[in-house]
Amino acid sequence: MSKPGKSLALFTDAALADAGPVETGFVEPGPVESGHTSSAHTAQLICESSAADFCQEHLWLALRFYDLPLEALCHDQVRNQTDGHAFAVVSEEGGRSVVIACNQAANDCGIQAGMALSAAYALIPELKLVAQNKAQEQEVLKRLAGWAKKYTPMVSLHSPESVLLEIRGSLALFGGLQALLQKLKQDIHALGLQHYHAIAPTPTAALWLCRHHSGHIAADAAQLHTELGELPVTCTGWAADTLTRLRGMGIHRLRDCLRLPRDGFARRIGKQRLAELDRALGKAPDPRENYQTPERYVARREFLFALDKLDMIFNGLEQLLRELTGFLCGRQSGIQKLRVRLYHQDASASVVELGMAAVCRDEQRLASLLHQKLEQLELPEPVVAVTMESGLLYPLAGSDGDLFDDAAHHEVHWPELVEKLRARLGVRAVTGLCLVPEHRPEQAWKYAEPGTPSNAWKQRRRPLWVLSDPCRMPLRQGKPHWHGVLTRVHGPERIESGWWDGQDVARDYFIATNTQGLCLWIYRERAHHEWASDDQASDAQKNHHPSNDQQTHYAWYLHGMFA
Amino acid sequence: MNDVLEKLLDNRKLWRGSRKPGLRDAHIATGHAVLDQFLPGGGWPRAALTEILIDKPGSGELQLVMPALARLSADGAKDQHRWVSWIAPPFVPYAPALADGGIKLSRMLIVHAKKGMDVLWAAEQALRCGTCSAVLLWASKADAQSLRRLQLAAEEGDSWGIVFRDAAARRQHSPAAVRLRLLSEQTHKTLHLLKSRGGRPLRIAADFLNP
Repeated sequence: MSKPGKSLALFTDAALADAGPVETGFVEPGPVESGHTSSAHTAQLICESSAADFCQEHLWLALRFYDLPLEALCHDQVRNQTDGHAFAVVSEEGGRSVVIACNQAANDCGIQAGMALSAAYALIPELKLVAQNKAQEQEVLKRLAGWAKKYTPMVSLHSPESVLLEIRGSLALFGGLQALLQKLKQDIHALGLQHYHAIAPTPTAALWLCRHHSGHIAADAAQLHTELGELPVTCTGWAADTLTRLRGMGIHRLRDCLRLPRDGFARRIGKQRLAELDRALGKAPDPRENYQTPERYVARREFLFALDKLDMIFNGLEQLLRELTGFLCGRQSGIQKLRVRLYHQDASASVVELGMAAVCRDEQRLASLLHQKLEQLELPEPVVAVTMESGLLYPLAGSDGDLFDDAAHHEVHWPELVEKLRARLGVRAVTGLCLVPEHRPEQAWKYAEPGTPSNAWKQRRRPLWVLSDPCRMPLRQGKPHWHGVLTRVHGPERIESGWWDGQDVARDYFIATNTQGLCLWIYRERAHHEWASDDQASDAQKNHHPSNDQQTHYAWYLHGMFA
Repeated sequence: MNDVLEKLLDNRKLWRGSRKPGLRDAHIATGHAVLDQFLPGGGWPRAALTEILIDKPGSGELQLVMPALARLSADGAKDQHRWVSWIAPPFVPYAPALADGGIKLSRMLIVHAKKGMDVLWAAEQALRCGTCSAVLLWASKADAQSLRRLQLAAEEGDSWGIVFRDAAARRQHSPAAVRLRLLSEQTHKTLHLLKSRGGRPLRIAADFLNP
């Protein structure tokens, strides 16, 4: 029988001086003396597997958001403020309530994650409790995966609290590993989250390293062996009884585990665990599901306490905006519409809608627009939750930041001004101008979207100012008068057009100056159209109306000024 | 002695150390030869405020600035991609006449602001953002302090700010780089150059403005 021999080999090999007395499981009856050296040669150890090496192609970055139960419930400003109230997130584990996260105030009094609720109460009797919201944690984690797409197209979720990023292909873009990590740390800090990170050639190893503590970096297979070997077996996240059994064998670190023979390990600990070790070492393929980002960005954030301070509400929204821009960056898209709802206890939700003149994913720009809109908003009640929904996504390529292309700079940045002005003054308050090929002065132009091109066409001399409604001029002895007597400079120019759309004009235009030196554009309304006056004349003839016998005074209007 | 000194200082060929070193394109030619001659630097100062005081809208104030605006937006000009903003104009700037004057309509922005605060705010945004080559605003009620803000914004955004105000404001202090008053009488127009940075107050017959 070779099996007992192997197990013995395992035992003698790994039964290290400090392991103490051997417990059950591996001790099986067998000839202790039978040549352990020879069987050690035949038994293949886990770390020596000659299978293919999957360490070369990838580099995985694991991010573990260890405070997610707390962070999913409220954003950092809320949990750090709350006037020194200690509160903790609790969860039912095996029939007893356990603290799984707490804020700084609670932590200062000695409360830690993993503590029983009764113990926590003993420390702080007035401790506020919040139930864990696992669904929301998963929502947040998914959004984080969407956000992480700004670094790499390959992002995988690992519930309940980790995200895996394949970063080999992104190193050049971000200027090396250290630069990438630096940026990532800043970005995560800006999102108001706590995290651990670890880097390894295989995703499983990255996750395990990340469970230990932050900052492990294993760039190649050799470093991976060293780093993994140092890990306590508890970092694998294996079931408690497996861990007990390993501990019983005197195995505390993965290094010891890797020196076990493969088939013995498979038989006693399980094939699954062996496969996991293989995947961690890159001896077996470790495919991960790529997270598919949704078609729109939708996020909800609860506030735990009703907030009435605008800056705290805005702070929470700002972090969502950061997620949004990361999400958009990953999708290589931008948005033109964004809707934010602020929910109240009783009153119906307040809605803020942002409309951008051009497709945009600039965080600063969105934030300043949103801030402006929020400042104008009158909140009926404090806010308990907010949601943010993006409109349709439009493709938007990144910019390569040319230093000297001034024209492109103005091309890209003018919508910002329009948006900013519109956010405060209203959409219709900011317009452009364009020409319309039309003879009627009022219809010869219109307000249009800024940037609308127009085809110039030659017209006669026109004033720079026109009145939006022509102003009726007073008459003196049948002559028009405007701050003094008028002198004719040019005219008449007859404009008669538009009978087909009901806005017909029949006017004689003149250019005239007054005694103050103003140069005016005035017109005489020709009383009626030919046929209308014919009708009237015939009417008058029939009725013998006296007024129509006299020459009627024309109506004169001021239409513009040659300013 | 003083006369000699005055003459020397008036001579534009003399470089004065106290004045900011002039950039070659720190001024925009006004398009009116007479005016260019009298304005220090030979034109409207860029990146600064120009204040134009008028008794009545329509006295020729737009003709005064039109050639320079056309020059800014002309094809091939350095600023052709920048915008010209009109903030709270008292009447409708008539598009056919503007086009006739050589202004590119697709680069015009009209801001209809009613409240005085909004006008100043919008002007400051437009001046500061750097996408506008010129910002025209009608703000009779602006005080020296808000004009100062606008002046700083114009400097920051390298934008030519033109403030049209009522002639009644001429007694107020103003931080604008150029201040002039346009006087319109029946037969002729006069420009009072009340202040110009690096120049002297004087009166110019403004017959170049068509009646």
